[in-house]
Amino acid sequence: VLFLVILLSILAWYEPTALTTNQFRYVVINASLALALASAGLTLVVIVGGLDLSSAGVIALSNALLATQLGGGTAQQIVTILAVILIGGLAGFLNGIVVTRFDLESVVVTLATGFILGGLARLLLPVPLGLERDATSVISWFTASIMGIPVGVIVFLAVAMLWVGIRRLHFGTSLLAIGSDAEAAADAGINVSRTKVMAFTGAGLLYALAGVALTSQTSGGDPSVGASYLLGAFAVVVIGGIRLGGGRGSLIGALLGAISLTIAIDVLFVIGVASYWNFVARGALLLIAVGMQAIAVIAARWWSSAPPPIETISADAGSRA
Amino acid sequence: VRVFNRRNDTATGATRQPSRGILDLGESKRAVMAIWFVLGFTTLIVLAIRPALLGARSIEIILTLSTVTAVVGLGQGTVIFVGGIDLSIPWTMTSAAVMFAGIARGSDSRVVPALSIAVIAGLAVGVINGIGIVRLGLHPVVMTLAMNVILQGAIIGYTGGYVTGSPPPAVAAFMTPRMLGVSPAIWALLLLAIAVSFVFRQTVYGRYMQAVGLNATAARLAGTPSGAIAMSAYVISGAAAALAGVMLSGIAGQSYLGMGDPYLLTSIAVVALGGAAFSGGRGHFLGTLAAAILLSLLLTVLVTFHLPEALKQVVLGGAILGAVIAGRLQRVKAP
Repeated sequence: VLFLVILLSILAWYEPTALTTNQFRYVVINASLALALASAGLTLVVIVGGLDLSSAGVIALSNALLATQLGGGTAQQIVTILAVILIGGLAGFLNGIVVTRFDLESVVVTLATGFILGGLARLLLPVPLGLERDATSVISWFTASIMGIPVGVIVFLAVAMLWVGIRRLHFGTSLLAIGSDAEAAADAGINVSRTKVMAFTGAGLLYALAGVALTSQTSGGDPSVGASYLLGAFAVVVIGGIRLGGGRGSLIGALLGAISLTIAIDVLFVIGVASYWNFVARGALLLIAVGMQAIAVIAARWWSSAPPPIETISADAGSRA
Repeated sequence: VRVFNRRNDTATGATRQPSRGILDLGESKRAVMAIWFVLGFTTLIVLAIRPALLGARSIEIILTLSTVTAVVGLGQGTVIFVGGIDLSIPWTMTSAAVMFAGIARGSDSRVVPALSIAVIAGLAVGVINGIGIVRLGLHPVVMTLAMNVILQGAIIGYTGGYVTGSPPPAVAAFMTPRMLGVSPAIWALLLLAIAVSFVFRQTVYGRYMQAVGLNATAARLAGTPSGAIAMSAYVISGAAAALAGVMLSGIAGQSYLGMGDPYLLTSIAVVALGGAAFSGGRGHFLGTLAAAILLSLLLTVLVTFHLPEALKQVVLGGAILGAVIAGRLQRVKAP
């Protein structure tokens, strides 16, 4: 959060107009929506102790599907969008099944499925394509606003509410328990496989939703569009204080992380860093965030020889990251 | 436990087990045999449907292409053997190839400095990866993924999107048929395969590596310098990727941005198909080698059917998935 405030002040310093409501809405909400949804999906998988490299593939596929299939009347468009989201969920479900059923490394499985999905997207849509105007009547709702409130804000709030709800359920506790110690969770009577499959499925749904948000933002399809979300989502997860390896983190952290990263990139842009250094900055940012988290944990260990209470670590890491 | 006993025996020079030479495949014997069998079988099928593909000339090309894949697979395989993963290979390859071309500027007289700088760059990438992962305890996926993007940005920034210079003819000659009708690269690969098989199965270093891959904590407690071993794996991977980048520039006759991109998936695919376990400690370079040849063959066949590039991605992804599932089923059956 501290990070966010610093970034906002830098941005305000260099580009005073950026913080007017209109600009803010564009910069913060619309630009970070897709990234936030993708990161929220990755967070679900990371919390149960997995890693998911298929986000780029799912986003590319849903983008390609929307760009080629969207059309017709309002009802038909809604059905198409829902179908795309379901396909994302199905991809995540298959990931989860393969990972749990065969007890495989999630990195390898999701890397493979990610490439399969990305390849399918490329088959569907070999070259970038713009959507026709009347085909976007439904999907553009995502970047519009209802009674002055941007839909993006509503989506942000909905995801946050959903997470708060899930945390209160047995499912939410199970997610974190499995991430901390899968064997102990199984001993405590949690169905580990089923919970993991549900986490992967939820991730797939969120990636597809990110694809929808992205398509809404760009009003077009581009087969190579997913790639930048792979690293972006990882960076956000780390900035959002979600521990790689599982057991700690929240979707709200991911949402805030996505906003921070989007603003950070924006700041770089405003300061006038050439766009290719964006790549370097993103990578470096990710490493710095991870490094800080590692240092925070080591420092906490250093100061108390007894195992530190979990709250101390998270407070420490949270304020630094 | 067995591993440690054997290691100690080797270390003290009192080898109780008879050495089986470089063909000692250890735990991955079945998987390695399986992939060579699949390779032979596929060759027969290709012979039946596209006999023209298996003329001496095209076999030559397929094998030469597979040398690049095999070298990348060696690096990736080493990292996976110690239980990590290297996602920084594509842009390590590209960076090395671009630097190589930039320094050599098409002249044979500058091959040596250009090659050394390219390989040193690869080593440096490996060292930084290793420091981040081993010393700072970062997750390999995050560290190498970030490294890949940093290299990508740095090299695009450095070149301004336009690659100058070209690889010297000597590299192209290395990658084209000459010696006894076979390109020097294939001879070099053969030597490399023998050397790697020897190092990984017959030396203390190889044993340490397996111990770290099977259980890093146990290996450290048993006195293995596990940090240094894991670090060396990333360094090998960086150097191998740099070398592969230079080799690829020799085949292509130029260096270009993004030339390494297909090799992320390929490097992991050949290791998976070669029967390695992604949790570490199991795998053999001879398996990777067969998988590299198999992939080159399959991709060449796909090209003759005029199938789109995207389908290649789907096929490769499917192959990885199939290989890891098959590997798991086989281990469940034969504990």
